[in-house]
Amino acid sequence: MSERAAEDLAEKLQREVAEAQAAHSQYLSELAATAAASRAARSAEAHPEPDEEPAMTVLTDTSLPEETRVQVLRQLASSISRRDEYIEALLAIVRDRGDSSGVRENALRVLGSAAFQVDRFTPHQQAYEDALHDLVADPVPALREAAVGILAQRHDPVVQETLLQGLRGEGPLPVERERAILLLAEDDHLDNLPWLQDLYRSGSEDAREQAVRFMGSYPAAQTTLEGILRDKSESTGVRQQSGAALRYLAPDRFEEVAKDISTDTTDDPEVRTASLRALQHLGDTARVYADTDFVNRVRDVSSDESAPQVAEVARDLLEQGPNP
Amino acid sequence: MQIELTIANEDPAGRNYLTWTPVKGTARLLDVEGADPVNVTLSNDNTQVGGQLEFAATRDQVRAPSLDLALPPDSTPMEFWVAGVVGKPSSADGDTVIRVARAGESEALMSKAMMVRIRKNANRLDPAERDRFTTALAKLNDQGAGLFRDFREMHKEGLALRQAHGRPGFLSWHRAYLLDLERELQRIDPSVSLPYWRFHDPAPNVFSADFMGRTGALDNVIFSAANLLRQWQTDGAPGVTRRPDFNSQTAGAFVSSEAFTLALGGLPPNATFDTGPTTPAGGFDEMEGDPHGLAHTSFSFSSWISDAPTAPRDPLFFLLHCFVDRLWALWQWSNDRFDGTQANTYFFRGDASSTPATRIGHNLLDTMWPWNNVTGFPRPDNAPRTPFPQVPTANAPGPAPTVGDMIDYQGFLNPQSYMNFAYDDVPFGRRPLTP
Amino acid sequence: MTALERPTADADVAALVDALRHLPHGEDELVALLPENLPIYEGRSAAEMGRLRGYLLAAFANTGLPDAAVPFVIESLESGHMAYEVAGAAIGLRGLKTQSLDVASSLLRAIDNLSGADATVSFERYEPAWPYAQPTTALTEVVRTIGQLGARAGAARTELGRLAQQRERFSSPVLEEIRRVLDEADPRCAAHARDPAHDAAACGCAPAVQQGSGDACCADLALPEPVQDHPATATRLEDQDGRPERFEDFFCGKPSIVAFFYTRCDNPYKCSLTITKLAALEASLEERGLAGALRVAAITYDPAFDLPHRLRRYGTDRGMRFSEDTRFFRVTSGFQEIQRRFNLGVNYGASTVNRHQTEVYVLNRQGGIAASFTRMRWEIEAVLRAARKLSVAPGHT
Repeated sequence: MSERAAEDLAEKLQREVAEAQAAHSQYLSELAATAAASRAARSAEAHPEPDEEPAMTVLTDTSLPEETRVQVLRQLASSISRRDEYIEALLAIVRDRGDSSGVRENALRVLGSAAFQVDRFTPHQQAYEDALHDLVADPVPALREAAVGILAQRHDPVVQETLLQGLRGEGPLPVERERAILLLAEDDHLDNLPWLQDLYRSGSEDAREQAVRFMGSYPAAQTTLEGILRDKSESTGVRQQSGAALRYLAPDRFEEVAKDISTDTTDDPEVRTASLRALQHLGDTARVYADTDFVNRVRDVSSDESAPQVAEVARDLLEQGPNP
Repeated sequence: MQIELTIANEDPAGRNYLTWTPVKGTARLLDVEGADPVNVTLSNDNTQVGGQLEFAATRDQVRAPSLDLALPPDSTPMEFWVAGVVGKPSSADGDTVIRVARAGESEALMSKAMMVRIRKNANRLDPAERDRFTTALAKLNDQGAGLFRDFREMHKEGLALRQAHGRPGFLSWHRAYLLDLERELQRIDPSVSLPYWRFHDPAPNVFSADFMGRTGALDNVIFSAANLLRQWQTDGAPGVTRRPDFNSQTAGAFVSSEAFTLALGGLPPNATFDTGPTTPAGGFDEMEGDPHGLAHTSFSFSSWISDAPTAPRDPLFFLLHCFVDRLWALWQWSNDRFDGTQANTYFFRGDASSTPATRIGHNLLDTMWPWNNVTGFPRPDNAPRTPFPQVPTANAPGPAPTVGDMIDYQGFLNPQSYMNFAYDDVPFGRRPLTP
Repeated sequence: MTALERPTADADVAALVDALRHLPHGEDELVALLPENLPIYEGRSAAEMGRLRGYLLAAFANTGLPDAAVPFVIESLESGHMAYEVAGAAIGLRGLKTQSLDVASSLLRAIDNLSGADATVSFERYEPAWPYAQPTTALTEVVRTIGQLGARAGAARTELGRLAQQRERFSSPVLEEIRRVLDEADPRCAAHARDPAHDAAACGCAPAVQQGSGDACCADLALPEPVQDHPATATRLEDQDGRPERFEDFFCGKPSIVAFFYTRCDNPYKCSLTITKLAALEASLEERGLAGALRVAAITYDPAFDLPHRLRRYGTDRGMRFSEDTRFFRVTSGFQEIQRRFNLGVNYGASTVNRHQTEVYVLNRQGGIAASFTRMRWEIEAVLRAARKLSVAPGHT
């Protein structure tokens, strides 16, 4: 049977790969024609180098339709993402505010893929970050957001300062306020807790869930997190996230709270489920199972069909036992 | 009548986990009834349910759903070879059963349960498989306190990243990285294997709260209450930050097609893995940019997975890279590229001191950080995972694998290279030659 | 100065630096601002601390670099991971007065550390807005310093010829700076650097690499010893397994080696490297005949966050083998006493450590500090030499 499967696969791949290669060859022919037309249309002063590749000619000709130039990126990303001259061309495109936003966004995506080729990309790393810094104030929101996002994840001090100044009202915010707070929160060495507390008090549902998530970096937030976890009037998503954050900060305290909540038949089934799952699988499970009072309470809820998901998780806990 | 059936590479509990690679087994009589051999038949106990096996008398013979053996009365073991049937893997531990019966009879004399354990398309896992994987992964993470932290450290700082990216050793290093993680998952739950995110296609089941999470309005990833990944934690805070720029329910990532990728480096018989110092390169390893790099950057740039230093903080990273590795495996199968001594399989076939050579860690004979425990520039200052975990269910790689050691992962050319993993739709060996 | 006694906004500290850099003998006042544990730095974020450190160190290019400041410059070159800080250190090193100091290895290490992590910075003022009017990069400044120090840069200068050939490591601006420095030193070598086919070592532009050792620099500079009369007695500890311990119970009775760290340190050249080396030191005790003769420990700066399971994971990640004589601790009470006793080089932002030095101590059998290895990269051999002297009890060989 495996022989048959192998033969079928071989036939299929042979056909598909040949078609893909033929299509690519066709594209390269069309690209060459487009490049030739582009050269012919340019003035003598702007004429590209005689040995310039068609891909480079088309990519850098801003008079061509956006889709034509984007196609170069889509068709040739695998090769151009590892070539110095194309990296430099993409950096120039990304920084050119006069160029099409579609081409710029796609160029940035290919630059990001090139950046993954870390050893090869090393000589361009600094110029890439410079281009990203330029984009922080770019008029195109998608580019601005992309640049701020990646720089914030890298804990870039320039963008952190920009976001802080924006939140304090000392300068423009390149992204919306909630997003700015959360991007700063990705660096736990900043004083984020006041912003996160503010976000929890006044933000959207998703923002509040994110706020309690990042509070998990701050021991000073432990009491707040426990309060949120116990608050039955709070939304289930926010409570579950506060449970994860509390467990991260203070696993022993979480264990006590989670034992109460998971066996409280009046509490939210999803919060109870998440609590039971964490107790069953993480940390010192032997200690959890050794608490016979808790295990007896779990046994009681394992047959409570008014909360079937909780009951199922409870039964699984009873059947499996502690981690070996 | 008592029969003993053993299959190579069993774990300490006597369990077997098979792939598409034929492994050796033996059967022998434990109690002798007479002076004549006993004719038995090995077959699948249930051909409708569970993983399926094929048998042969030797490693290279065409395998079949059953095999007749004559067991000598003196208890001499009789050799046979067994492998999973491509397209029919297990979905649970022990759902694959070999039955041994007297030839021509239906009643089983004995049976042995095992698993055909295969890396599968994550979007097609059944809920039980999915949950076993997410639970094992979350336990490995143990909310930042578990061994997963080592895997995070290996893919974080500049010098560490340069050991594994931007040069031809990229695929070998990541193959080892994934296998190391998978073996740790299997220590938690031996039925688990790494699934792959087939990023060309829509994957609504992958991007669901029950699996890798759905995305909230602020790039927060939301997991269901029963999904233990809700407790996921890396670096400074719990949770995951991710937002696909594509519609994950209806579309794939912004990458070239699988066929285009397989055409990189040329067509058989001349397909080339990498072309050495020549630029532009033109080998299969260009796939590091597309589809690999573009799969990463098909997410918002605030997503962890979109940048190399933060990418493995997102558990989706491992599913992405599992598919990257599958593409390499499929390319190897399509082009018969398992022999590292051949230029088309790998260009830089020496070590870092050879001529020509590329960056240390990317030559065929270079050992790979961190498993080689070599620290100090040009290697990083510490080695989080060393040595490479050795398991009885596989023969390779060794404790300090080289780039080249990762090529013949199925043990096709050398059974001692068998690593005990395979992909659901990549058969054993090489592509059959078409007339 | 009363300004040093209270938490101060970073812009105000920078203004003070600006004032001091133009004053006669301003360098002595600048040196007084260097210790990270000053009250003025309380509450600052880690990013602010890195920026302030870079800005402060750069000011020594104007005032001259006194001996007391050299260890701080070396620390930033060897262990800095922020481009701004490293750039500032490189600039400040140009004020070096001492002729005989070997700074080559520190400069070369900065180049290694920042390869792939270089960034555009500016010292036109403390917080310039992007785009910078006077941009530079950290590696550019390091190379420039090698050029300006001339022969005092030692092996770093001769290494430039080899670095100029490594196009895959450096950006174009840095390569251009390397060539410019070589050109000023020897035009022949600069021309060779532009030729990718040229073998720089063969023509003598880049002789064999001479690796400096961390011990070579600053060995003759006196480092202040923390004042310590007797072991801390009010301090209570908890180890990586959650077991309570008293400071004197662990640190008295045998000599010990103790390092300070925290698990959230985001500088790979500080805590992660410190603990990795500590683990290697511990692993070597048996072959050196010191097994059982010494205790090895690490204490976290961040006891509220670094719970026992985090201490254990951090250690085992880096090869630490825990035992009765090898433990990690968090202080559960009396941390301020520890801070005073060791004069810990650490300060705190709103949530965690904002900056710290590398610090490893050898304690005698009474728990007193017998030797300290602070700020600059420490070598396992040097620490063990100091500890070995203490491990031989009187009357024993």
